[in-house]
Amino acid sequence: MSLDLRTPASTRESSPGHRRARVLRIGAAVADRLSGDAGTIGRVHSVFGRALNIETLDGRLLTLHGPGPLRAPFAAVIDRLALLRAQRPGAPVAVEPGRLRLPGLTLEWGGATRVECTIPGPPPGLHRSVVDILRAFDPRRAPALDTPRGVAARAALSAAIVSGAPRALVSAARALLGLGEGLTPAGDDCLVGALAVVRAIAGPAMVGAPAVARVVAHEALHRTTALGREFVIEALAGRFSEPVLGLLRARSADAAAAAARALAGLGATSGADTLTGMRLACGAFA
Amino acid sequence: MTGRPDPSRALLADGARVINVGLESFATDLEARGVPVVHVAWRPPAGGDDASARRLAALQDASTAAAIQAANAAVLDTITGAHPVLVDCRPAREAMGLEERVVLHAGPPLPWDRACPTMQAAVLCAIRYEGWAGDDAAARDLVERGAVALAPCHSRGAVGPMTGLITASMPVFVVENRAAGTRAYATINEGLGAVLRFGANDERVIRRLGWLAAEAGPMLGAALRAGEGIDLRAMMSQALRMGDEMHQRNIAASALLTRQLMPALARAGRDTAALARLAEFIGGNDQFFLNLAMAAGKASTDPGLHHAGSTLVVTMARNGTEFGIRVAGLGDRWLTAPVNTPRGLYFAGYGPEDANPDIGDSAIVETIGLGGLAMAASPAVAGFVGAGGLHEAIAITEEMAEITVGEHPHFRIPNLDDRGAPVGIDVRRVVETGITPIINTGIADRRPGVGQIGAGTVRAPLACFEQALAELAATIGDRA
Amino acid sequence: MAQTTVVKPGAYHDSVALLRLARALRARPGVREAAVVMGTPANRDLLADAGLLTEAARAATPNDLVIVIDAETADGAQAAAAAAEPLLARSAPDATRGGRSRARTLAGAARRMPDANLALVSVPGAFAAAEARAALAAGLNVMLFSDNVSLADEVALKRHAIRQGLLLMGPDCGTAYVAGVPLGFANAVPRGEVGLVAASGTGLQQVACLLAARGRGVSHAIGVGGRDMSAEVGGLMTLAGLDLLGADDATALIVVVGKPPAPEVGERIRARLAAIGKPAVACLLGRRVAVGTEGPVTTVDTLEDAALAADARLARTAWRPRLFTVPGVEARIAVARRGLTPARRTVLGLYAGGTLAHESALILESLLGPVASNLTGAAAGDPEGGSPSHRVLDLGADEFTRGRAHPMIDPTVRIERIARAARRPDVAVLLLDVVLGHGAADDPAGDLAPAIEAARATARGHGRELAVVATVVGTAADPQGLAAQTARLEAAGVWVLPSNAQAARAAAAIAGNETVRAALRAGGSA
Repeated sequence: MSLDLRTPASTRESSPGHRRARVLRIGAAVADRLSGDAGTIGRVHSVFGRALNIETLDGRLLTLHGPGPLRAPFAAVIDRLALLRAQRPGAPVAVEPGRLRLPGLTLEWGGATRVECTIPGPPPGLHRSVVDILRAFDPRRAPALDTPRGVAARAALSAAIVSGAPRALVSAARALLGLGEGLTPAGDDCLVGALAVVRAIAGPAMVGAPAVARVVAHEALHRTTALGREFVIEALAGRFSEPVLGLLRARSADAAAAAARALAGLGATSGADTLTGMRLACGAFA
Repeated sequence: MTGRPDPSRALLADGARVINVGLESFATDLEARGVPVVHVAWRPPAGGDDASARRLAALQDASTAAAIQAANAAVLDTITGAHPVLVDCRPAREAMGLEERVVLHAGPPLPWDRACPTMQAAVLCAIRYEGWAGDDAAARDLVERGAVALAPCHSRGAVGPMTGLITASMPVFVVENRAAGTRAYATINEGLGAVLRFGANDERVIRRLGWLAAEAGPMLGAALRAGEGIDLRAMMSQALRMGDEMHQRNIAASALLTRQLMPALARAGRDTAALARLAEFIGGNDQFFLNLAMAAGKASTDPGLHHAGSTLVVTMARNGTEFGIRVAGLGDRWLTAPVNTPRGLYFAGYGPEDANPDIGDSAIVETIGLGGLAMAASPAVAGFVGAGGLHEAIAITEEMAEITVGEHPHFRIPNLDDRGAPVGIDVRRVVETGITPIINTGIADRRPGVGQIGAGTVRAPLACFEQALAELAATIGDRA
Repeated sequence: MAQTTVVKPGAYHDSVALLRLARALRARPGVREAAVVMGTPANRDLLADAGLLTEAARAATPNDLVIVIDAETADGAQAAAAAAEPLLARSAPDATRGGRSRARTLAGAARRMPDANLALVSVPGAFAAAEARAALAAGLNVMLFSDNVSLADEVALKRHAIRQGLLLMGPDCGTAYVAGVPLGFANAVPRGEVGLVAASGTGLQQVACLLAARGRGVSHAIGVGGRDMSAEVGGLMTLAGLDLLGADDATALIVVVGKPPAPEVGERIRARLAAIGKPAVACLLGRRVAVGTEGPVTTVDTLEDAALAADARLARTAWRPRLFTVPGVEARIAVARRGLTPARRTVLGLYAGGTLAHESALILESLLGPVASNLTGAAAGDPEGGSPSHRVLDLGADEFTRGRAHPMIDPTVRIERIARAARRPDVAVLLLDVVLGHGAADDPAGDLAPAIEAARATARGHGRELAVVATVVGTAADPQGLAAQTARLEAAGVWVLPSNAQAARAAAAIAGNETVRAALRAGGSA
């Protein structure tokens, strides 16, 4: 039997097929954090219809979501959201130069736009129309924020902003952290919103005091969800989601109204809870 | 044959843009590969019911289908081309020639003994209000002996919300459809509290009805007759852009109406105290416009009745016991089925066990593309009736577009890039898809007189449409 | 009064989903209160305020979802807790879809995508013609995946499509590629310059996969349905498909795959290919096919040769059929024959792919003589007959799929048959196909391997050796992975060959006599 010794191509190929997606935009700070890494950097933390969270080995998060503004300062926008739905929590995530690898999926970030999510050092202040919009905002009825505990926590935060006392701020933050239902509990969103306004009006001095940030970040570690904590840590460092930044940066009534609408539509209730916190801080400064 | 026309070449050149009918996993796969795809949540026509499927197939025959399409286009034109104008307000006996000892009620014809307690209480109250009997027992005796007759509002050119009662001395708004020369009538909305439409039966109700007849009605009539009439079509299309769907939410339309009505009322009235009372009454009732939207709907759809060969629905109404529809191709005939109970959100302290079965002529607004069909225009209502937010509201309107044959040229929805509201409910599509019209509605307490206890949505029962299809297949099939 | 607590670590849901769940739980009869929160200290305090801080809730951490139900009876609380899980599962996709409604009719879908150009119809056969008709009326090309469409409907639909310049692929069109994108059951193959017109799904898949293995891609593949080349349909869509590929700049070479056409249809196809003039390969599986090249058309008699001939013609290299393309065939045959006895001489083919079964039956018949099968138009004979003969079963045929999924998705029928084969004393070789790709089972080799291992053990228990020969139709880029699936089968003792034709020949060589092997040897060196 004379037999052909040529190895058929079909048995040469061995690597299973990968799907590919591109990272379109990414928060600058999280991009910097990842670009120094290589190898396995963490695992898939949670998968939702509209987003996927990756928990890195240092306990921090990276959120992937579909096209649109960055929903968190630690987020990245990818072009093919549907591919994420096949991922399962716990799956390993690795970094290679210019790309992120998940099981069966490669995310290229070579062409991604870096988005600066930090409010700059000197306080930019708030445009009048932003203040007006926030004053007119009708706080969502977040059940947890309306309980006696929630009401007391909000009052404490307001008082802390008025007094500017670091200790008061820490204790108000402690009362709000982890309060309420959801991935980012309503109390966390409220705190982040308040921190955004504080940062914009008073600058980093007030909340940027390393002691305050350290203590609150430590509190967050065991008082709220991983996602809530990430938002709070980033907020303490002056970094916020694009919808929040959009509202802070608005310079006309129309722009402010549009930005507030966009923020209000964020997440299930997160945006509205964030606005509640922004309104609270705005009121405290007045 | 080498020069095949374009569509198949375009497919290969442009790549597939797919409508997936059947296995959903194909759509999921395509989506994951970045292929544009819309999935159809397909179900067997008529839910697999053979008799209905056969009737649908019979009406699908090419020449029959073309005739139906032409008839439906004519009826759709009649409905969407209607031009309802509010021209007058005067007692029902004058405006519509309503005789003494007749009580008009909502929905399809209703024998007294089958009426729900709410409807019965309202009828007794109306009889006492007219002075035909001094107490409930005497009033009941009159009805049971047939000395007072019951008839549907619809049979007399009128419509009424909830119980929908109209008797001779009640003032009614007169709405003229200037495109067809027809008129329709509806009472003045009584406002909240103890009211006839929720089956309240006490002196407060009668006092208010008395005031409407003696003071409010004549003032409104005088003001309207002094002017050119109020263009309700323009007003409704504007209110739709302001977040009303004209069934559960009429606040913008009521405000627009008030704005136009007040100068005329002030000019026509001399008694400033009476004017103040009326202004306060109108201003205090967010649903004041509802009855006018209903009369506009009635004036718009009535000319579509008796249009042979058409499968479009021209009336939907409930009497608290039965839901009834009328279809253009079937004339005056009511096709009825037991009413469903609305689903929605309840005011504190009430729940579904307290709800009265669905009642009222107000579903006429859904037949002209408003109410539940225009839910996308009114996310506030979607939230209020427990249907969710903007996305859900749009989803409801999109679903209704599956069972309608046109879009309303005047009723445009900003949230849908100014597309027209879906209008022209087609019996065939309802049976084929099993999607029944969704109706926004208030929820009444099942105990007479308690009033509104919530708001929600209710589906028209499929059985009405299946019967209509059977009758249509019989009549249209006969002619073919 | 009774309280039940469910703690779900690492369960993340948005707040609307949690509020909705709480509301749904409260609405259950006998439930007095229900709380659904993440187990943060602040929320545990709230639970304490409401008298709902159970022991389990107290121990929860911030990343745990805590559900506490307070009901009148313990049973009520338990029942509510059991209901929570499915309710949560349901809320997730709702959030995903953002409440967008789903089209319920083709017309509704067309409103949502006004520039759609193809309807993929896979509804039950009784309704398929109506949906296809509606799609054509809406100006859409149609891929009709559904089977059980009547011949009359097929002819009417195709005539309608031709009049409007539309494609109607199918019925029973399992696979197609449009502009390189696979539709239906299909393998991940690169985009390339080979255009296919195929009357068969698995035939198309085999050719496309073997092309992919040689680095060749597909421009378009048009499935026309198994009856298109019959006299009744007259090759309407085959000819239309050839015209399309002829005019298509991306297509350098055309391959036609199917069973033997009606004579007059065959004439028309040959004439059309000659008129188009592009290089072409015709693979119309039948007995006594005249292999060779005439004008632009090369005629072959196996699916593998269709791919190899196409590859060679595009590469402008000489080509001639090869019976085996892998080394060591003779040695493996010798090993497999060791346990054979004169009583065990038959081949049993258990197939998921209809065309693959057909191809095997033809090859076995040419080498071993009569083959019993359930294939139409192939060798006749009772496939379940008691007399020992070679048998090929298409397990995707109606009689096996009634009331269950196709064997490409559901391995049950094949697993049963494999077990039964192990107990038959006459069966020497089991011949299988494993089809990969989108739409196929997640792990088809993994589904079959345990059954194969068990069957071999059973046979061995009876002192027999059962040889198992198979091919895997797939590519490295398929979700299941060609290499992994092949390895899984080989681990179960299966001899996996690169094509179905080679697998069938190998099976014949094992089961056949020395004359057969000599013929194969001679053919291989020809």
